[in-house]
Amino acid sequence: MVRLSRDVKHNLFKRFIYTCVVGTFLVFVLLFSSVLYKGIGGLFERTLPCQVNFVTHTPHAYYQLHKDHLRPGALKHLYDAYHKNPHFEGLLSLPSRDKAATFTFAKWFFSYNDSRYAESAGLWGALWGSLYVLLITLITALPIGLCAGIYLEELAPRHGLLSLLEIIIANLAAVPSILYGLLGLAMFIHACDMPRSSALVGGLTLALMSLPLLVTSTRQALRTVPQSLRDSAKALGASPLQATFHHVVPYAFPPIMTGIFISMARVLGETAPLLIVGLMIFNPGASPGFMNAATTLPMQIFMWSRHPEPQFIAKAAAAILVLILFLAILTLMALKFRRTHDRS
Amino acid sequence: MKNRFFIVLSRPVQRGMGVVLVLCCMILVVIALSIVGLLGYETGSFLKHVSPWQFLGGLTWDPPSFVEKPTDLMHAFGIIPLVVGTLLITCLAMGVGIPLGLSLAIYLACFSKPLMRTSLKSIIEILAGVPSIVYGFFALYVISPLFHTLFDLLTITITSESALTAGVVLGVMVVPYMASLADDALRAVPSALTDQALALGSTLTEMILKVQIPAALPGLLGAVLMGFSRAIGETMLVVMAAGLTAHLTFNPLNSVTTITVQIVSLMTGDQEFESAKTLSAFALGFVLFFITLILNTLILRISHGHRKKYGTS
Repeated sequence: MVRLSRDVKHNLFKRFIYTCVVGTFLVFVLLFSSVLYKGIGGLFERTLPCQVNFVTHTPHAYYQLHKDHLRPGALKHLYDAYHKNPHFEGLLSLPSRDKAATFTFAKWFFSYNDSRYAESAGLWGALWGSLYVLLITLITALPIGLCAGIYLEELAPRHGLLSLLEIIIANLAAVPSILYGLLGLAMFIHACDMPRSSALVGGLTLALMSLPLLVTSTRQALRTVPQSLRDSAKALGASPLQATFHHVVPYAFPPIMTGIFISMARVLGETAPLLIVGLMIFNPGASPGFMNAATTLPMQIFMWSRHPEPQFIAKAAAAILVLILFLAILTLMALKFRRTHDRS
Repeated sequence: MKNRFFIVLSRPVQRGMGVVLVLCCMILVVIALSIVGLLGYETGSFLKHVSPWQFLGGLTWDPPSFVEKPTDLMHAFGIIPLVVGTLLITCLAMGVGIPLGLSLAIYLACFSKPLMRTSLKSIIEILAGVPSIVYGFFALYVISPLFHTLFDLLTITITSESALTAGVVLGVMVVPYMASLADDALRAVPSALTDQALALGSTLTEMILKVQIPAALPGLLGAVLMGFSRAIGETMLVVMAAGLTAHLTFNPLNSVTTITVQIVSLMTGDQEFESAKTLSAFALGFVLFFITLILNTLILRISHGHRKKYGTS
């Protein structure tokens, strides 16, 4: 066997590492470009203004006449218009297959509820569902998680019980999220008799899941505080609680915020536990409310991507784009807080 | 510094706050205990229907057949096919994830320039936050058809819900996560060690392979195990990309099912809470919990020993 010189070995290794890195990023580029490519069809729509006269045509006859240029579900729009005004005579914009039709951003996608028809299935229910679930999670998990993190890092007496607690929290953070779904099902739906599929149950279940994350991130944030700050506060006569809440916590505020934003992003994208507590429901009549049946954004993506019709798959990809946009905003906020902290 | 949280802390207030803080910690303990208690209790009542031997040693998993003829327990609730399926998908994921994740980490820690490094780190952080449902969609509508055409060219038949698709995409999913942890481990190696190696005339490659990686080995192992434990507990991706029926096979081109997929498919139907089918989901959950518990204990052990060795965190 040929013995390679050390320089050649170095070059080979370097080339191998670079190839792997470029390959990895190409896979991610493929991921995002394919989702983008599929999602365009969901975010934009072709519409064709048609001259409709319901006095001479029934909606069905009209649909039969122009079938080649209209999407299968366009019939529903015709019937809707017909029920509003049976004597309609004029222009009607219909979703169309025709290449010559106008290509516009589908604003209604964000304000319509889910539907059986791809032409009128929107994200509204999923958007408010996600918002309410996130709100409930924040209201319940944030104070508890922050308090527990602060207590464990700053105030807890250092003995065996603390290390036991540390092990418990590290294990909780590693528990697969689906098990929190089982816990939420037994705890909130069967023991507390809360309404299944509601935003409340979903939020509380995700709160269970995000608690260990919040505690861990808060503790890591507090670890960045220099010991001298605590010592000088105590030397000037502050009690441990005063030192913590007047000096240590304000100093560690930016990294704590980073942790909160990252946990929020995790909660927003989480699906598995919500599947177990029944947030996977088709509700075309969704209306905002903590006790009402709700779906979240990832859940809507899951439901749409299981439809056989390609229009729903385009919708799912469009919903993924919306979800990624929200997550990117949250993550960038988190990174911004971290950077301000690093600078100070 | 501006005091954003200024509250007057009188003695009684302080005492009250202390109690509240301790209570918050207790909530975490209660959650941990209730997970163990719930899973243990429900598994106990499941094992009244099915003996532990049948559950842990059975070679077929087919809960619907249990409803048809409840006497035929041996063929309804055997966990072996699920464990094999989970391990098959996870091992495929690790086969993709370990080389890609570790080389990304080595690139970040040793080869990249500072500006590239900070921007890549931010990108990796954003990628690590991409939810699994997105990867599931990617697996189902991009990778699965791609593999299908690819294997058609080679005249090999592949099922559309193959373990290979799920495994490869799962591997890609854990890359950012593992790379970020492994990068931290590599950077935690004291620069005295790496600088000495370079000063003694070793090339960068020799330094990385013979000094930095051995010194960071426990941390790297921890990163790999974290990725492994995440891959085992992953749900949405496998629900979308892997199959529903349990086949006992090691062939990655076949469709297999995992523990998490079965929990989802058992819990999303409409059946009463106390039926053997629902209870079996809790038993599966208990097995999953047990596996991640072992993995996590291992990770904690490794990182603890590492901290002792170098005296840093």
